Amino acid sequence: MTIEQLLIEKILPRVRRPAQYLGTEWNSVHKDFDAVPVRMVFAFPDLYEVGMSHLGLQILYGLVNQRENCLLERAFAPAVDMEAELRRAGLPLFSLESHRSLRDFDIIGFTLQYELTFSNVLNMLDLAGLPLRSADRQDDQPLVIAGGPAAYNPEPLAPFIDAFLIGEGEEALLEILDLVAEVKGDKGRASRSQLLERLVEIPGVYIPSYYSAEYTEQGWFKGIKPVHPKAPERVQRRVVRDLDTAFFPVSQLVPLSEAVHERAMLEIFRGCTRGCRFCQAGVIYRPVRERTPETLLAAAKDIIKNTGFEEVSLISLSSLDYGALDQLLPQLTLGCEATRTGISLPSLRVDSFSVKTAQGLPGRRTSVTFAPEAGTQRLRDVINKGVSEEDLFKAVEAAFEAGWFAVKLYFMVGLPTETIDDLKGIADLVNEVMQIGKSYSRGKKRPRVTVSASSFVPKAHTPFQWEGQNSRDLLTKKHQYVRDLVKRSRAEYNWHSIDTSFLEACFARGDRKLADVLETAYQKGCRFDGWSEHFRFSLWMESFQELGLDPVDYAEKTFSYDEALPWEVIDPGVSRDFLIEEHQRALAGKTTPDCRTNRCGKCGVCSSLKVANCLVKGRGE
Amino acid sequence: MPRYRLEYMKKDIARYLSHRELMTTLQRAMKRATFPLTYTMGHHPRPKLSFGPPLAVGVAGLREYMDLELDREISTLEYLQLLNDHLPPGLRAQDLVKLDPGEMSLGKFINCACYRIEAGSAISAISWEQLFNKLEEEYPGLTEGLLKWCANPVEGYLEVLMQEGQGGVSLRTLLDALNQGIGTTLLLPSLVTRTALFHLAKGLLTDPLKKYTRPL
Repeated sequence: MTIEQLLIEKILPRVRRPAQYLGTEWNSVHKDFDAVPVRMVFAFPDLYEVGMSHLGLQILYGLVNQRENCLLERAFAPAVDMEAELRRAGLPLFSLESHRSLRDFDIIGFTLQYELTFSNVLNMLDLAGLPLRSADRQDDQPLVIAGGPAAYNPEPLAPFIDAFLIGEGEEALLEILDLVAEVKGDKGRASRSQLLERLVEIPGVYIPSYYSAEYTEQGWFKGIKPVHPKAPERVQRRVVRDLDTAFFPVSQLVPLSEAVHERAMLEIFRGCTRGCRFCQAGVIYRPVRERTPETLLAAAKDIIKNTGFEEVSLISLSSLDYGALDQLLPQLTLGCEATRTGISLPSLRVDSFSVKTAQGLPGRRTSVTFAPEAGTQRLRDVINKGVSEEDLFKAVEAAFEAGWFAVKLYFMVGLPTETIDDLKGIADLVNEVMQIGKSYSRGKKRPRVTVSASSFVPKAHTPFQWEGQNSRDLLTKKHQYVRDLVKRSRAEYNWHSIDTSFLEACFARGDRKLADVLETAYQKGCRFDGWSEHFRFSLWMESFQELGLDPVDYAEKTFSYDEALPWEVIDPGVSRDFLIEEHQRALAGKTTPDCRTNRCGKCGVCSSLKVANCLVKGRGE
Repeated sequence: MPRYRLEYMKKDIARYLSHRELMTTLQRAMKRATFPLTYTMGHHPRPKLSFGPPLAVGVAGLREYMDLELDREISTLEYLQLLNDHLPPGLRAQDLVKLDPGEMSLGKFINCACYRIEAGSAISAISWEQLFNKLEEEYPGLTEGLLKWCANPVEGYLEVLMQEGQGGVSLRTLLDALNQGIGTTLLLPSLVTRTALFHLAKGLLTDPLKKYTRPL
């Protein structure tokens, strides 16, 4: 029996939500596997419902499958029940389209969206029947590559991945595929070692086996040195200069099994220069590149026609900052009218303009979400979140006035320089928001205010990369303190698992030694660590202990400026000097304006990557 | 607004769609196929579609139905083709007819269903009469809901005509009862096909497109 027959007859009847394994979504591409020379599988190390909501998948899927000599199929992390069925039946992890083993592909490409999917990466390699470590894989086995935001600190995954692609994939992935086609020729499979020898020449490619990590006698990280003549000292990230002419998928996959977000995706711009100092995306996607309204309207029309989705979402890091909303929205609304397609904005800026804009859009919206992130003006200045108390109150008033009685507020606890006043400040803000709500409801409908609080996780390549995370005990006390205050105003307080944030911090700033911890924890059974129902913190702690490492040394370590950082082998384009200056300005409570509307902040991206902010308003001038 | 009734098939791998997934899939296919759908009022407009009795995940359906309200009359032949051009594998639109005004809704009309269970060798040596009598004690109402059954030991299937909706037993209950009675766990929903849906009145079965009527 083929995998397909076994799957249909024996396995699908036994697993939950079998539709996620069918692979026959509308707009899925089914090529003749044996007739296509270069075959890649896009491996998403999380569930179908998460991966199918991911824009990067849609972009690369459309881009690669457009090419006649390539195919790109999908594989998601199988749910726990599916994994058990596969292992019981002795079946490999397969791609959704051709139902082929991952081993049959030339390239397995993982996207790393989040550190807590790393154990799933190992599990997917194992389910494919491949040795976990590159060094243990045979020369003719598939090339394993990885990209995405969590690849900006590739070190914890270094021994498992043959090559990382740092930065945007629209151009670089095609270069990689061309190279594979060339090296493979008419052989059955390209030699991995030969491929790597050539891949090292492609900008943005980091080959960890071409580097050696050094440690001090005490075991602290000392630096990474190239050990291969062609390997660059630092690998600079790739960036697409003009997004308006870049590929954008208009035949997006329509999920068969329900995804987290069921909607068409319209990426209106990439990059954000607001400069929140905790935010990694704000660094690694710089500069801002807006698409023109004409391009977007044409794409939206095709996407709606080709998918039949109920809603189109305007995707970016901060969609209300798009420079031509006044042109885009009225026309888009008009275009959506006949098919009753809704328009959504993934998050709102904290001001009344945002709320009024959202109010004018077709479609449902049951609640509004704002992210003030910190409780006092002082701390908001430290993190460079350009939001004032007045902005928030006006935004909230506008929301209540528009009839939204459910308001969600995002805060971060454990930020650098935080004091008890800042925590109290969160409760004060929440209380004020509740009072505003009550004044609008006039006793009719009780306002619902939900606070969603996360714990600060220092991320690589941000001004806060040197800062240690608060201890777990301290974070627990802080969250409890805020919760007790917030409850008095009868708002709901939810906080993310502290253990999860702790582990995320370890890996976000970890070095190569964590690879052993990861492998041990995986062998002990860790999977889906980002899911509270699967997260087994004690197994992680055991693994650290067995390897003689202390996770606290990773999560809570405060680096000094003269120390080498494990992720500095990656060059995000933003200069180290800028990050240091931003860190110092943060500690001094000084804000830095957005370079879109103010003078250049000298972050270094434009000069080092030879790009520039590309704004609709300035185009053609 | 004119109402139409669609007869469609859900088989092969599409049998693994849940009812909810199926509804979404059909709705999006109709949007792609440019059906002039009408929508409910309010902030959250939904197309006016109504579906026949749901099928469990894994169960195929050869003659399934849904009603749709459109904002104008359409050429049923043309739109049947358009819809088929926009359906994923395993789903097939078979017929589309305009309903008379005042026609009963699917929910009211359909009151019985015919299932075929591919039981393989599990069924050959069984006395079904005895089995059902025995099961009636543990699953009260089982035989009452079973209007008719016949077993084909040569081809290895069991066919049952059951009351659907109020007063009937669910397919899940029937499968549980059969598995227990035979002493297996082999009868999974993926071995079941709903072959037809009917309106039963005065001993006569009528299909939802009213193309034929036959005695029970």
